[in-house]
Amino acid sequence: MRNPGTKNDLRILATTLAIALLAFSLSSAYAVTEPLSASKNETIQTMDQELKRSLTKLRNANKAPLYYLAYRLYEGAWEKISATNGAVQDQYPNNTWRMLAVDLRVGTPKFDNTHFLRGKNSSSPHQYEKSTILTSTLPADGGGLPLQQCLWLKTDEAYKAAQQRYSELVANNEVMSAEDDKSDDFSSQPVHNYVSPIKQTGFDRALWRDRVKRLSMIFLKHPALLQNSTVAFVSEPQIRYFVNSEGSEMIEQHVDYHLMIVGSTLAEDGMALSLNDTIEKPDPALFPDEKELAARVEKLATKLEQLRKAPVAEPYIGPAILSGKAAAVFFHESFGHRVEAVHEKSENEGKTFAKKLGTPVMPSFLTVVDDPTIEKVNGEYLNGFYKFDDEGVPGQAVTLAKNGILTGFLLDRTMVQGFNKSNGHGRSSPGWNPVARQANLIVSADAKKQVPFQTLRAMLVSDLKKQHKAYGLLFDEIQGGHTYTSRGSEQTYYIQPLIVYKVFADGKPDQLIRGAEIIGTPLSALSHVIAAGSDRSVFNGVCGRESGPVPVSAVAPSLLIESMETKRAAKSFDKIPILPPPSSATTNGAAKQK
Amino acid sequence: MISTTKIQLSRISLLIIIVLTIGHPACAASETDAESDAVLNALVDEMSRSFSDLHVDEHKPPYFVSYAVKEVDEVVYSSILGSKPIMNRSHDRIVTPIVRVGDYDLDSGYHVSSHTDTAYPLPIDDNYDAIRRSLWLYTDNEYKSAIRFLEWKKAYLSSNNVPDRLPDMSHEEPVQSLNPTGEVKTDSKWLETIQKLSSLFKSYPTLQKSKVSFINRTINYWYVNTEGSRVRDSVSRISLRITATAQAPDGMPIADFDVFACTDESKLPQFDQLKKCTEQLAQRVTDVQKAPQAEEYCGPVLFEGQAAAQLFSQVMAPNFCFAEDYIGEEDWRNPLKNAIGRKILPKTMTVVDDPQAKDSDGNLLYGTFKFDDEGEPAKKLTLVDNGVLKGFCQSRLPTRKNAHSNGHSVGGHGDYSILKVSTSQPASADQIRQQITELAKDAGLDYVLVVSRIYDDYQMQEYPSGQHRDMRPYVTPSYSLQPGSPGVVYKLYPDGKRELVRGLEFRNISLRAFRDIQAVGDDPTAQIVEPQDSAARALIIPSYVIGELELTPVKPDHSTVPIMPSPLVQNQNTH
Repeated sequence: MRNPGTKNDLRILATTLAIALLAFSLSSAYAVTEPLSASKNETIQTMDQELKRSLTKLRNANKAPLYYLAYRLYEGAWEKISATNGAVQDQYPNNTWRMLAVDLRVGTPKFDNTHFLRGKNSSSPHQYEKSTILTSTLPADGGGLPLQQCLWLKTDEAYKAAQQRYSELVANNEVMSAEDDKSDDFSSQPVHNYVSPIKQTGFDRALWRDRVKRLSMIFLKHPALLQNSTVAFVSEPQIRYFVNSEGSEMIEQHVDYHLMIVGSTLAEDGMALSLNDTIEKPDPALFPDEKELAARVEKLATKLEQLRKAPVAEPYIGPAILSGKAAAVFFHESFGHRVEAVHEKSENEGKTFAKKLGTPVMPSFLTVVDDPTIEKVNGEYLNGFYKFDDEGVPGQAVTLAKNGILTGFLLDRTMVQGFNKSNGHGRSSPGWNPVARQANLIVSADAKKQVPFQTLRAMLVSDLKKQHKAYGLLFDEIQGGHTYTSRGSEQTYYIQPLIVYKVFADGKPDQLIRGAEIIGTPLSALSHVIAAGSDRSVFNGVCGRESGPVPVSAVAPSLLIESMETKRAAKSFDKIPILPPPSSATTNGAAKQK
Repeated sequence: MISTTKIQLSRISLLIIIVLTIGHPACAASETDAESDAVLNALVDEMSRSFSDLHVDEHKPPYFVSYAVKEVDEVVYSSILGSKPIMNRSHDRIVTPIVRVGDYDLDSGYHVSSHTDTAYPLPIDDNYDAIRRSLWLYTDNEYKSAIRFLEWKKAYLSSNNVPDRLPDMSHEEPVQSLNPTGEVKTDSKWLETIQKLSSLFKSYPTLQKSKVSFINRTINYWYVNTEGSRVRDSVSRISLRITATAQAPDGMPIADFDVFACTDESKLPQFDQLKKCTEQLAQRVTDVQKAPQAEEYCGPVLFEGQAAAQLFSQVMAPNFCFAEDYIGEEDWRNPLKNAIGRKILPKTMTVVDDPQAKDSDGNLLYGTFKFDDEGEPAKKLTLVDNGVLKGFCQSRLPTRKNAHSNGHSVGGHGDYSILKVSTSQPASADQIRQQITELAKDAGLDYVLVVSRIYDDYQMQEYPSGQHRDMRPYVTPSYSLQPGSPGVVYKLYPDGKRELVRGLEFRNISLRAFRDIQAVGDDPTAQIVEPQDSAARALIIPSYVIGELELTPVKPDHSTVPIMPSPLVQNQNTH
């Protein structure tokens, strides 16, 4: 279990894949059906039947009344083909998985078992069952008795745990000081009945197998890339079945295919370097043709070779430009995580913005919105798109900052002082407890403040001259970032850039450098944005925090920052390989066996 | 685009025979000879290059290089209460490169009990260039570690007193044996079988959880070393696992399992037999759930069937392994390390370890192998002869009394394979009952305990998970430990009446208990054991009586029974 609100990660898919594999190693060839209403679906029917039975029998079975119950059943198929050096590295075809979560509340909406337990410094535990564990009895397919049996046992377990926790919370309140935020633990919602279009999923395995093999061969044309580089195609269709005691029933499908290109090498000084490029589409037919994919691999490999030879960055403070992607991650970490309501309610949190509503938190030419209902920007699919969140609330656009003034928070069904309704941002990984999370964070600048990128550059150079600096930094590609929001922590954020250039005041050509990492504190960083570009870039990634990794996007223009600080990146101590790579000319081991 | 397999699965049609070939349709391994085996050629070429060319500064090239490749191709089916069976599939290859610097007497081998060799992923494609390139990087890594470790070891030896140090690696003759590789092939009838079996549990409403799983795994091995060994082999591991749980009225958890495992899918029991066993398991759990709570006990205990095998594998068998010395870890020792020639079992008992053991129909038993992880031929060993300890399961790490491998290496340490425990004085069931009754009378007891099943979670996981196949937890020797709790225990009264009880656990049992074996039955059976999450294997053993053991009631720290009745009860009522 994670300690709530301590660390938040945003990484692009390639780097979180290993974790994703562990979390749900297997997955489903679900029946391709398109029910007219959720209640006609067999799985929903079973969930509904057991939910109603539980409500009747458990409502007043113990001291604290059961007042809310929801079942979330996630069902997916996970398939991966990865290739290294022209050979298939491993293949997991068509593996099905399911994850069941029981959201159960006892007490009253005012105060229930999910309240933060100050005495133990803990959030409500996740009540889930995962079909991929060999001992699990969650059937990976269908409804009926097998599913009902599992729901019955899991509900009983969740109910007993809730009663236990509720008693502890009541006792806590009797012996501890009053909390700052006296808002309710839960808000009501109207009934929703929704079925998203259920698309047939699948892809041409032979075609993609051969394609990733060919693409992975491109790295071999770059002998300076001394580590294994990989190209992988992953298919992750997923369906969420949702029923709750308010009468809502929903089925929502998300289909995601991604091609991940990961190049790795070692610099002569032992610094491990890696670059990645991920292409995500909801349909395999939407991927660029192989020629374009090959060009992207080639570009990444070439960049990596250049990076290998680039000088190491020195710690720096001064003006810098963040490219659109870098600016998007910067806002996700420094601002986005601090408007997730949970971080403004929990007694354990830093509450950076709790009392700042209606006051300026960034320059007046910036506006920030989080909108899960946007599917595409600049023709690119956004990772944080959904119709309903994991609490069954419709995803809604929320203006978080307007003209620099803080105007809102991202809310789940837990209330926060001043807000009494979810805005559809209660999100989680399959099986985890949903909390308020970002979806598609969109940063925009006033039209009259937008300048072309070249002007932004010129402004940087003039700023350098003013500050008597020899060079400034241009952050181009970003790996991801993380931030700390809990009260006991230092509130900092970190961003790991992949591609960074020195931009010289005297007009020398830009110089690629390696090993710089951005650090800072949010209030100070946001106030230092001085100009924005007229461009707009999308960063698609996976964000990890107390409700598990969820897909997110951030969209932003390039930004000029008056003062940005970087530190040295951590470094490995490996030497490059002693022998040259084996040449394919040396063949026929059989001859040598004699 | 929809792949064909997916359509078949979503609509299935349980009767379609699925021949599982993914990735490379023509592994065609059965006809692969040395000339065309890309894996073997890549291993040999990169090994030879590393052996001759790999060196840095004043450090010498390695004196020994080996690669052990393991390819696991696997299909898993499972069904719960008759649910549509799900098929999961995985296929991967790993290599364990061993690069040793120094010499046979003192080298860079990291011989401590807790260490397992590092395994790295290899492509599953038979692609010579790609495999070599990966080997090149891994070998480089291992060579650098080896240099550092040898220097650490030399420094340690110069500042610590390590008397009578044994050599680091035994000299062995190279082995050349290239057998065909294989791929997983399974009959889709198993989908139907497990679905039918799992639906039998619907008639037992007291049961809470139940599941039937079928695992078919083909493991291909390649082993090459710079001494000239070239080994290639393949083994199948097939198992069918049935589990059921319940809660007693006081909430005490009850769990039981049945496992059928073999090396040839067609040798699993027929459906009728499996059905009978499933029903027996369901009934057993139902009966134990209702049985009265047992009281504290100290006296003779009869172990039969699965329990006889479990107790032996959990307490005694780990001490047949790991009899090596560990530099830097001198205080860690196998309690039997210096006991060769001493009596550890009654003089009527003999224990043989036979990796090639067969059942009465001549089929190789589960857990069989021809070559160990160091490419050494698996040898049959007499570990205990008429009660006297004769030797240990060994890798190429020498032990005090034996300088050579006997083909029992698992990741570089000796591990037991298929044990066969026998007696020169088998007693009939009647004789045993008579004898145990006398023992009870002697001890002033009204009854004796009979343990017929001991809890083991039977994960049947040769490796903990797909992505961490290099992690191999080991059986670790120990003088005494608390074995798993008895799952099925009876009180046996002098008149032969058996009364089922529940809720007992053993106190620690030491090796001494096995010298206290009072009688051994004439009823040897092959059971599947899976010691401490290690690879499962068969163990052949008759029932036996231990003179005195203590059992106590388990502590009641468990949840109460579910508040609502089971959906199974409602289901039965509505029908």
